[in-house]
Amino acid sequence: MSTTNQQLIDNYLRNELSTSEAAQFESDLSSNPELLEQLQMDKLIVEGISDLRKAQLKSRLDAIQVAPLGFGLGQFGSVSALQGVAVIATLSIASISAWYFLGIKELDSNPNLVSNSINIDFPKVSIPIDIITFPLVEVKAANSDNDKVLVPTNPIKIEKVVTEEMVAANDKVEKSFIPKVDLPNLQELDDEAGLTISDAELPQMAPTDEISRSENVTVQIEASFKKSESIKYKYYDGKLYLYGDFKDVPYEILEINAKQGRKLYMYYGDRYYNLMLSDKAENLVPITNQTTITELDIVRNNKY
Amino acid sequence: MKDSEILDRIAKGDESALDYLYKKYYGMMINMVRKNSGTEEEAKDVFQEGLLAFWQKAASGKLVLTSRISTYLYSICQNHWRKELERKGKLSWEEVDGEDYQAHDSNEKYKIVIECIGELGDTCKKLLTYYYFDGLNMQVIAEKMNFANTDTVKTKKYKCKKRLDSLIKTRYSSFDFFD
Repeated sequence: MSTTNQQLIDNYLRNELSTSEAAQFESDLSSNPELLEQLQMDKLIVEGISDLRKAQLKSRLDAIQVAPLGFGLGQFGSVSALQGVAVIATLSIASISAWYFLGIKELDSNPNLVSNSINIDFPKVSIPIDIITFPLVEVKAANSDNDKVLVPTNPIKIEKVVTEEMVAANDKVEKSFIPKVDLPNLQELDDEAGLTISDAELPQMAPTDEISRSENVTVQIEASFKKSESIKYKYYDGKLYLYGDFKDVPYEILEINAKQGRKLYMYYGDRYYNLMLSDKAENLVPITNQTTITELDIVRNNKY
Repeated sequence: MKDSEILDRIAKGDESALDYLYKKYYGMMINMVRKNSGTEEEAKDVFQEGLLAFWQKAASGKLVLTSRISTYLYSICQNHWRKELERKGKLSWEEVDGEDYQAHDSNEKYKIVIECIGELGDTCKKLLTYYYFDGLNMQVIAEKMNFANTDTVKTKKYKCKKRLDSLIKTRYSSFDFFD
């Protein structure tokens, strides 16, 4: 089979011949058995390749989790109506979640701290991220035995993104541990007696203390370097895209999970920003509400 | 994501665009088939076939969209389901006979071709797939597979195809392909 004939067959099978060229090719087939023979074999090859590729792509699609349809789309009249309901529900959940979290007046003074480390692929370097989980608990109001503030037990995750220099320093820390903390008696605080802890030794490393990838981490972060003054972001499909120059000023992403939904905040250049769901690149708009800023400060500072 | 961005991504062979379309229009397409006497399983199959047909056209750069992607996809799936219903209707009263030998013979050839494709190396398999199924042009293939330039792709593609032809021909005499 000559290269020219093979190219002709390829063009024919890829529908790249003009109508007249295709007609000429088909007419040539009747007088050229070798060409016809090769065409028949190539048709089978393309069929085989197509079937294998389709199977591969279908298994990819099968692995995608889509919203269950058990409720019956027809009940909503149209898909757009359903989408409207979904948007309203999502917004409500997000609002309740934010209100619920930010309305917390008192957090457990002795949270369990679990330090994990995961890797995220950045354009130039893989940067480990520290995640500190704060399980929220039921706390008693300070002035009453009966009043309790119910705080959701879902974890608040704080992801701290560090620069390359910080990565080098972080590499020196080989193991993490859960510190044993004896709380001082509040009455002893005045004379500082309660601050002396005689047996405050570091615990032995147990197998369960091994740092592992948290199964709850669902938000992927992809940062792209853009030499511009403004930082932009997109947040959709469980992924956060950041565009900007983060070389000099590191940013931190605060991910707050509640049972009803997830909220993302960004701390960058001494300001907080609310990251809303959006598939378009959005400019960062700083949070100005002082109460929210104070609460986010508490969350951010508590991770250290 | 805008339609133009989706098309751009598909033209570059970015499969995440396929995932995006699948998630976005799953409900719409499944609903259409279910409303027209289909099961969810049939609906899923129709949607996947339709989506892959769309992918193939869009990836090859031969698609000229005069409507939104959603409208286009919807009509592909609708036609596909209509044909499927017709086929099912015919099958219920038509006898299929007389072509047993031909079907068997064709299946044998097909099996050999599939086996031989499986014997190719990964690079050849990928390259031939991008060329014959996705219809990607040489430039995009070069970028996706990190080849130096389009000439390298052409040479590699020629060698891969030759190798596949030779594998098939040693299993099956060339005469048999010529019915």
